[in-house]
Amino acid sequence: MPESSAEMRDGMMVVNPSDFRIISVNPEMLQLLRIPSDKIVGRTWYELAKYQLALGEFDIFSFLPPDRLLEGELNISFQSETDSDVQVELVSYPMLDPQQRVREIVLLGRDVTQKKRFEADLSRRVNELATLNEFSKALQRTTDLNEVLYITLVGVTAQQGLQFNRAFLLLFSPQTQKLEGRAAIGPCDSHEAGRIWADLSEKAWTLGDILGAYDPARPLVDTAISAQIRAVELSLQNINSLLVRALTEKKSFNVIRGMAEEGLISDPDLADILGSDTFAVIPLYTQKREIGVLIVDNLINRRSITSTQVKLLEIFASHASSGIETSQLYRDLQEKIRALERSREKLQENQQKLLRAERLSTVGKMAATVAHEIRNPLVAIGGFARLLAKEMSGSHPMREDIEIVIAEVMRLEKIVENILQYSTAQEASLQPTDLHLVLARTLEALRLEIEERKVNVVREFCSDVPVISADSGQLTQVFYNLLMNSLQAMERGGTIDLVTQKTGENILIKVRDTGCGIPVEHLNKIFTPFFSTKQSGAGLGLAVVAQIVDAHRGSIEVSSEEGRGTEFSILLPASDYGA
Amino acid sequence: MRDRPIKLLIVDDEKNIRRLYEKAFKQYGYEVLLAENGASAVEKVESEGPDLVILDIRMPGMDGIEALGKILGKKRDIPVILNTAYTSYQNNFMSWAADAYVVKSSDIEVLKSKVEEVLVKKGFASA
Repeated sequence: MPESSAEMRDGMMVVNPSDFRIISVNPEMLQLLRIPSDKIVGRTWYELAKYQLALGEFDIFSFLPPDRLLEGELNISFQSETDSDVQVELVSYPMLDPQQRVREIVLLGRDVTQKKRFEADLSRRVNELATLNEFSKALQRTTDLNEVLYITLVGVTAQQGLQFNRAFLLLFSPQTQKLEGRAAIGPCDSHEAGRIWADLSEKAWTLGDILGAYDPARPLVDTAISAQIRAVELSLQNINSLLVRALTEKKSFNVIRGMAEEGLISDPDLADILGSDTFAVIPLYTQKREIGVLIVDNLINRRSITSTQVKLLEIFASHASSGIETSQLYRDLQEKIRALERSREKLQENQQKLLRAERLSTVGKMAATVAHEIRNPLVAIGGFARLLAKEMSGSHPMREDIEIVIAEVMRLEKIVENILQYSTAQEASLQPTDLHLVLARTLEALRLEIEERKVNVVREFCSDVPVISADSGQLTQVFYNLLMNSLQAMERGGTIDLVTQKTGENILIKVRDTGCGIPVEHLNKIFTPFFSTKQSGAGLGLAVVAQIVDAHRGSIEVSSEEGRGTEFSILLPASDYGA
Repeated sequence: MRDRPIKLLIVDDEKNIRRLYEKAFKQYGYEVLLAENGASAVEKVESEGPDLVILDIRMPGMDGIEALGKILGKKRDIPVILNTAYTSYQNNFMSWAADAYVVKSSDIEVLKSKVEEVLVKKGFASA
C-alpha cells in the first residue's frame, strides 16, 4: 500500500474556518486518513469528533483539535491495521478574502510513511556507522586480548552500541583444535538487568567512554556469566554443532526457539548453558584464520533479532576478529621477544662469566709468575736484613731502620702469598671433609689474634657432623680470611658468631661480626681482586674466598650495616659421603 | 756425638740466595757447600759427601725435582729439603720423596728449624 500511495494524488479537504464544517473532501484524502465514508461533508469537526461518525481505524477528528488547522504544517502518524506504521503529513493553507480574513482552510494531505522510513533508516545507519567507528577506534587503541574481548562484548550489548541483552565469546584454540568459551557480558536475570541499565543510563556515557573504561585489574573473564561460558569446550570434530558449523562454514545462524533458519536444530546443551533457545551465532574469522564465534541474545527484553541486525553483527564481528587476531599475534610476538631476551640475557651472562674466568685466570697466571719472581729477591733482601740486624746491638743507631726493612719485606711476602693463593684457588682437590674440624683448626690458628683483640667467638654448630666435599686447605683459607677480616673490623673487641646449619642438600655457614661494617657502595666490590680499603694487603683476601667457594660449587653472600657489623653466608653442597 | 760440623749442600741458581744461606748457616755452626744447578749438586753429593741437601726446584738446566731423583739414586738415605718459591710442587709426587718442603721466606729461621727437625728425624744429634 505505501508503495502505491507514493504515486497517489495529494489528498484535499476544505474546511470552513468559522465553524470548522467540512466543505469538501476528495477520495484520496479519505483513503489517506482511513475515513471509510464521504458522509462527513457538511458536518462540523466537533460533531464528527463527538459522534464518531467517521468510524475509521484512525479518528483524526478527535485526535486533532480543529484550531490547529490554522497552524500550517502538521505531521501526524498513526498505526493502521493494514500498514504497520503510517505517517501522514498534513499542510493547511488558510485562504484569505480581499479583507484579509480567512475564508476557508484548504487541507492538503500526503503519505510520507516511506519518506519518514527512509529518514529513520538513514539516521539508524548513521548511528550504526558511528557505533562501528567508535568500536573500531577502541579496538585499534589496544593490543591486550582481554581488552579486545571487553570492547567487543560491551560494543554488542551497550545501550549506545548494538543493544543486545547478552553476548558470549568463544575463541578457537589452534593448539587444542577446540572452541573454548572465553568471556561473556550481560545480566544473569531481569532483576540484575534493570539494575545495570539504570546504572548505565544514569551516567551519560558515550559508547567511546564505555569502551574506553576497560580496567585491566578487572577483566571480564572474572564475571559469573563468563565462568558459565568458560565451561564450554567444543571440539571442531563436533561437526553437528551449530557453533562449529558457524566457524568452519563462516556462516551466521539466527536461532529461534532452538531452530536455525534452515530447520537446523541447535546444540541442545548450548540452550542449557545460555539459559535461552533464541539467539544468533556469528562467526569470527580473518582471511588467515578462524578466530571463534560470537553469540548474542535478548534474554531479558525478548526482542527478536532481525536479519539486518545479523548483518550488522557480522560487520562488527569482522572488526572484532581482526582485533583479536592482532592481539593474539601481538601476544605471540611478545612471548617470542621475551624468549629471545631471556636467551640473550643468558648468553650475555655466560659470556661475562667466561670473560671473567678468562680474565681471572690470565690475571692469576701473570700474578703467580710475578709473585714467584719477586719471592727470591725478597728472601735475599729480608734474609740479609735479618743477618745484619743480628749483628747490630739493640742500641745500634741503624737497628730500627733495619727492623723496618725486615717488617716491610715480611709485608711484601704476605702479599705475594695472597696472590699465589688466589691464583691457585681455582684448582681445588675435593675430598670428604669434616667442616667442623676445618673451622676448629682455623680458630686455633687465629687464637692469638682473637685473644689480642678481646673478641668473643660464639660457635653455633649444627649437631650432626657436616661432611662436605672440599679441599680442606683451601677451605681453611676461606675461614681464615673471613675471620681475619672480621677481626680487623673489630679494633675494640666484639663478638663473632660462627654458625653452621644443614639446609637440605646444602650446608650453610655464617660468619657474623659486630665490627665496623662495610659501606653500601663497597658491598658489590669486595669480592673483586685487588679491591681494598685497608692500608695493608693486596685486596685479595675476599677474592680468594669467592674463588675457592666457587671452585667448591658453592655460593657466598654478604650483608652489612655500617657501624653494626657484617655477615657472610656461605652455602656449600653437602658431600655424597655425608654422615 | 760428632766431632765435625754437619755439612749442608745448598743448591740454588741465585747467587744472592746462595750467599745468604751460606752466611746464615755458617753462623748457625754448619759447614756449608754450595751448588748452582742440579748437575753440580748431584756431582757434589758424590764428591763432597754432604749430610743434608737444601734443594731449590726451579733452576735452569737440571731442575730440583730431577736432581732429587738422581741424588736419591746415588745416596738413598741422604736427607733432602726442598726449598722453593713455589707452593705448587708440594703436590708433585716426586717431591714426596724429599724429607721436607719449605716455601722460601726471608725468615731463615723457618728453614733452619726444618733442617734441625729433619736431622733429628734422621738420627743426627740435635743441633
